[in-house]
Amino acid sequence: MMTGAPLVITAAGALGMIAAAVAVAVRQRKLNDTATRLVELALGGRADEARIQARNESSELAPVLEALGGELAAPKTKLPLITWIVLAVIPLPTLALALYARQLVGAVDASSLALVSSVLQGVAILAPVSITVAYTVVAVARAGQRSIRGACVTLLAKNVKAAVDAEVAEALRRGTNLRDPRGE
Amino acid sequence: MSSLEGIGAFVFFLVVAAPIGIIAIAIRERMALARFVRAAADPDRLKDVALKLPLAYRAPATAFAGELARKTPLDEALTQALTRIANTHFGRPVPVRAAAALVISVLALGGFIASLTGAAQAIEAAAVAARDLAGARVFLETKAILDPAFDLVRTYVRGTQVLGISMSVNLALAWWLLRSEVREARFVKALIEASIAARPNATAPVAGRVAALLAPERSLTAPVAAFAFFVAALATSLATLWLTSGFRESNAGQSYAVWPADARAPLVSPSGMVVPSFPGGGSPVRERSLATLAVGPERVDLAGDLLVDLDARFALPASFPQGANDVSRVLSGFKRGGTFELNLLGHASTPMTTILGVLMYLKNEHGLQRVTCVLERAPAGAGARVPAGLKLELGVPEGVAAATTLVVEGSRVVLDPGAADSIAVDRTDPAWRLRLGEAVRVRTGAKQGAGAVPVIGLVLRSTELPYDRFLEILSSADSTCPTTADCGVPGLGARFVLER
Repeated sequence: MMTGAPLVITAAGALGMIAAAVAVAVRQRKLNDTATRLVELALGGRADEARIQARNESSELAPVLEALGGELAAPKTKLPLITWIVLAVIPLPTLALALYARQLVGAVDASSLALVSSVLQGVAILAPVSITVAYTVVAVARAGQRSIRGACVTLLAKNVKAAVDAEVAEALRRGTNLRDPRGE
Repeated sequence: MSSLEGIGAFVFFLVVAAPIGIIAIAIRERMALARFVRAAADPDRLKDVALKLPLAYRAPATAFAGELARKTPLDEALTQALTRIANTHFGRPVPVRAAAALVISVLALGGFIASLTGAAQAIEAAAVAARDLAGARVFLETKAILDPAFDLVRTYVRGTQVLGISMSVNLALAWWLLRSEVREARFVKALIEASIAARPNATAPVAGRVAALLAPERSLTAPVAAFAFFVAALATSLATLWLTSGFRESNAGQSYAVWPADARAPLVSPSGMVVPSFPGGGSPVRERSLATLAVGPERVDLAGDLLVDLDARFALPASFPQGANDVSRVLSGFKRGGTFELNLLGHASTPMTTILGVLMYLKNEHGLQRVTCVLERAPAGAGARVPAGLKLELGVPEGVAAATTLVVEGSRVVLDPGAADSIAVDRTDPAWRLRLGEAVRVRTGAKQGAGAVPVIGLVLRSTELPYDRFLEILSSADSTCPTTADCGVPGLGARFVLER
């Protein structure tokens, strides 16, 4: 039976990690929904409105804002900072247990034995939870990264088409002897 | 199937089956996409082939085949397919992947988790077993409970390291062959090849430019970052190993930093005296109110006052006790109820005849009851040599019965001679100290119970023995160390009763 500080560290650590994973997932879902909404607005002919909304969103939607601005560049998506922060925090409860256990080395009172036993049980609980939460956070971030990239590619295709159309129109206007590249 | 066999099966799965599975999936996808490209020349067949592609590719490939069959302009069909594939999530949904990660981590760490839980239970069992014990008996009784549990933890930690390496290799392999970006690039390449095969003379400026923009980056940034991460991880691992080397060394050497660091008796050995030193036995010498009897190398002092001079061979004068100084006044301050006890510091080479001669004189003339024979130990964590004491009663006190009798004769030490279970230990045997200690622990534990202070009768049939050999026998009998190295644990705290 766990007791004392190890119980508190383990419970707070495990619940904190799960809560962090859920928070990251909820936040990422919100970002994905926003990106989808912005793309729908742009494809529906309200690109300016989409751009204004994108400016007020998180910096993680910056690639979408760039694509809404008509930029012809590969989307530069990266794992959000919050993901790295959560990944850095995940080992801390286990580390705290290890440091606590270090303090117990050499203790001679009987109550320390119960605490040492609790530390071992705490590590047994935190190890699989830490790995699962770390993997989940990375998976959520990667899925979100892909969603934002997908939104950017959708807008990029539209931008490229507009650019090619403009180039063709310009060539035709100048009377260059240019074959319409869209012909088959 | 035992948990170790279970871990073995899982290691086999991770080391052999999982990499083969990852490579097989990648090859299967490549082959399916190659079939898709070959079928592109025949638009009627392309849709059927698209429907046989792996699930993630199926929808965009089928839509692309449909567009080609409907004679949609190639540029438009290809652009739509590229957009669709960029919005495709390869692999399982995140909740499924999280559940799989939980199952795999529990399976991979199952043995480790079970061993930690077992060790926690062993600690609780040891606490119960040690409840009525005192001193080094606690160490002896609980070591048998804790050692197997922690050996199992060590075994599973090593197994988990192998699993960790296997999982890292598999993750790297999956990252290389199956990550979304790689699959997308693979599919884009197949789509472009299929487009060329389906409409050899068509152009696709929009799709071409989009594909060029989406082409994977081929800079050295990612490999350099991966290398830096690898070096940092390696440096962290080495630093951790270096920082924890003390723990691991003490665990491997069965050495424990438990020697009490509280106030010690102010024992100062006279100049030139070599105090016997042994790697086990004896208890911390805490009593500060006792006088010190120093025997050798040139004289015998009691509480700093000369009792008698010794000759060149550490022997008492033939006329002793005649000619000895009167120490009554010195001893009066240390006596309690007519009797007293002393700390005994003896030079290593002093013969036992000299030591016993002085002790018997003090017993008969002044009522000396017992001495604490002081030896030196070098327990882990103490930082320096520390004095350890062995209690020696000069005669059998009333109401005291020895649990076992130790007879010292020549090179042999015999436990309970004449008894059916008598044991003789030859001091020429390299393991004689361990054998003697174990025999005494078993006998005193069986006869007096694990919680009692062991009482050991002592018969000296060989008084020519030097003092250090005598103390070596006593410290071996009192020792709790499982090896010949100093384990750092005090001895049993036995009372040796000099019977003859």
